[in-house]
Amino acid sequence: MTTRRVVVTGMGVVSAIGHSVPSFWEHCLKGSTRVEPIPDAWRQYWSPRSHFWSPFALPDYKSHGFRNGDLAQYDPATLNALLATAEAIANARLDLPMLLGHNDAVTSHYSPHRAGVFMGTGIGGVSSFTENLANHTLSQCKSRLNALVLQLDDGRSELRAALLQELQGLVHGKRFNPFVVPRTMPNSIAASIGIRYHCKGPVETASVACASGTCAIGNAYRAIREGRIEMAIAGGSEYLDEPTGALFRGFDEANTLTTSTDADCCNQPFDQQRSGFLFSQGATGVLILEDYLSAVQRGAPLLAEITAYSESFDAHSLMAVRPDGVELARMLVKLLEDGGIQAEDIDYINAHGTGTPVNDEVESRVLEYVFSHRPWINSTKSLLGHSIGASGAVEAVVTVMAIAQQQLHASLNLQSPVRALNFVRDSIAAEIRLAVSQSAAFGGYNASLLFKRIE
Amino acid sequence: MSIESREAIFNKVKEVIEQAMFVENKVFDLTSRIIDDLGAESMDIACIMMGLEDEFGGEVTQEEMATMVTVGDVVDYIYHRMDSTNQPALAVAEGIA
Repeated sequence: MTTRRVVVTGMGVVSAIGHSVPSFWEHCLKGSTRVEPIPDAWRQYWSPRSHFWSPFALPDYKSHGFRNGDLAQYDPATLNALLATAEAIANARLDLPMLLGHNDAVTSHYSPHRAGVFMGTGIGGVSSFTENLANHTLSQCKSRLNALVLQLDDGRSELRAALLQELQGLVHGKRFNPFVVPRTMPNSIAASIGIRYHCKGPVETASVACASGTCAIGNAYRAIREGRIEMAIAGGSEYLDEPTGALFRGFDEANTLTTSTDADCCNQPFDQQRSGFLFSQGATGVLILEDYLSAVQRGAPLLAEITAYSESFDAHSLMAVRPDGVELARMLVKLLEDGGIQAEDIDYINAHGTGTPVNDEVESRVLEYVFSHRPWINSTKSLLGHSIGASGAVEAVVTVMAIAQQQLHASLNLQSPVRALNFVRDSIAAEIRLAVSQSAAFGGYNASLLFKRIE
Repeated sequence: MSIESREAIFNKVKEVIEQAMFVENKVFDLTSRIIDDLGAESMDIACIMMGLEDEFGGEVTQEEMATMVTVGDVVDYIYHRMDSTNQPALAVAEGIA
């Protein structure tokens, strides 16, 4: 089998701390984060154990050329992926224009059948589904109840006011969107990129919860390495918005979220005081991967090389990493083997580092066991919280930036580390030749990428 | 609120259609056929319907939309609904929500 070298030539990010790679990376190095109390309105629906989240200000899509028709058809997880893709393509200096309308005419460095799209997402367009479900179940019922309440005579004014107050809690969008199916489909993210950029190679969706982005990039890497395609748009996108807090509640009821009452240090990956992860409303990361020779031939910027991808499955629990960490360790050993290197060659690890008691305990034990020479370790989730299916892709962007810029961002809120590992405590300059970005997911799926400085 | 002129309605309908689909480089006037001349597909038609509802209020049904072949048909539809209600086009159909 032909094997080819695979390089990263461009990247794009939409996140709570930056809507472009330069802005995002600047804020990473500054240690910026966005933590806010959950909306008070959510508390009328349940008593949350977790009190903070990382909300996500959506970009001004119209200023980027999107029309009302686009906003109707695409969930924000898709819109953000299209924006990040546009940035990544521009940074890669690829001649691959976004298509508008029904137009097949396109110039490109690559034949459409040699260009693929690989996107990861945990829950796809779930926000669109919940929004339309609420409209479907509540809108007419609420109208009828309103009419009945208004028929109550003046002697029942207190009851009328109380009922009207309760009716305010039945929140729904103003219409049932006829595009609810394509907005909700998890594969809409990859498909929309494929349609807009006329990629006719594999257009795949990876949905393995928190490892989705890493898995998607890994699959893209393999497709190029094996010579099936020459270029791939790969990454992950997630957007979890629901006006009553139901999506947040799902993670809250599962005891996965931080229970800290201190906004300044509620997000504490790898700290002994950690109590759970910080729920992120969303993020998107996209990378352009190319066959090395093709990229060099067209004079593309070479940011880093991907030299291995490895995965494993715990076969243990839908919601918790296997306590002995054996499959996580096996995945890393295989990654090193596939990359043809030794553990001590690794300079930096962008850890999964969620901040849950069980993940950080197991992950840190595995890292201590596999990497006895103590490479640098940080958790990008200490800045962003956990953006589920996007997290691995955003962390891949961070890992590539760390290699390209020879800089590392700090792992925030680390007062008492769970283990004596070499955690990055402040943003630093560091010589990084080889780095690992790894993810572990609900369901028991583990995935890791090996990145190398361009040589 | 007064009934708008056909010209004012045309300008708003044009904006709705331009926001719903890609119509650049195409002749756009009252005689333009939405499907045959502007190239609208079913998803574009749905976007136009939602845009009309947002712009003029109320609901546009698929059956009503199916009767509108040209841009002029859309303008007439809006104009006559305004004329029949003497209200902002479709506002009478607004729900409480």
